[in-house]
Amino acid sequence: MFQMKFRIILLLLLLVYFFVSGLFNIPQQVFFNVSATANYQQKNIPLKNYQQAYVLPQGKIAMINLSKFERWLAPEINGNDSLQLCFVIAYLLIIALWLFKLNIDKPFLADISKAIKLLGYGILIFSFIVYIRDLYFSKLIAAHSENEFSLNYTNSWLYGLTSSAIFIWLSKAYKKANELQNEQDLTV
Amino acid sequence: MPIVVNLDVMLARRKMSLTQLSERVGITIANMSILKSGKARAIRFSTLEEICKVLECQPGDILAYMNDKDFKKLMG
Repeated sequence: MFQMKFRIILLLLLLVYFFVSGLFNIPQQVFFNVSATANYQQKNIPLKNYQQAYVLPQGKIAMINLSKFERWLAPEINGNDSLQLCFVIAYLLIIALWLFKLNIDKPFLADISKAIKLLGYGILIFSFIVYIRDLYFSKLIAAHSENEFSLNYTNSWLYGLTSSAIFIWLSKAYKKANELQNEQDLTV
Repeated sequence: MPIVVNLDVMLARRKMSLTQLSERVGITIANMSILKSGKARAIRFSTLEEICKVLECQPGDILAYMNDKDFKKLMG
């Protein structure tokens, strides 16, 4: 049993290592998914005109001369969304903690409940930061492309918000289960 | 919780030890100690029935209600 736990923890630590190494892999230029705005249409001819429709360009914009922090913060288009990696690392650490303390006779522990609650609020803050980040890069892209292109939002913040609500609710349920378990232990 | 367990009194009256009672009732000595020390949060009817059967008494002989003031005084 211990060996199995040890192997799982080792695997998790390896995953954390890979994620952490990805965190510091900052690219020189950053690409963002963008779509043409109405402003583009006024200035340029659409790619294709039809009788009742037209095609606007959509693609990637390469941003150069960004600061190191901005490049680190850039959304997932580079393959390593740093904020998302931070979240995954926290998530893996919670799983590791849960695996360490897992006891089939007494599965509901106060520590785990606190950890789930912490994770829930962590994701909530993460979602807020992601939203602010997307807003920031959206403004930056609009400014650099003379308002002709806008950032395609990642929607990570929306998923984060939903999962944080689930985790916070789960922590409350876990806490209640812990209380009931303690009461059951003191029932003769 | 101002419910007092008078199990030690009944055991003394019946001249029985806690170990003997736990063996005859069929619950562990650890659980019986929890009950005797007043740490228990609840007691099953089945356990109460067995204890009453073994000690030949009523549930009221084992359990008693005490008001908060007296209970705090008793527990220190």
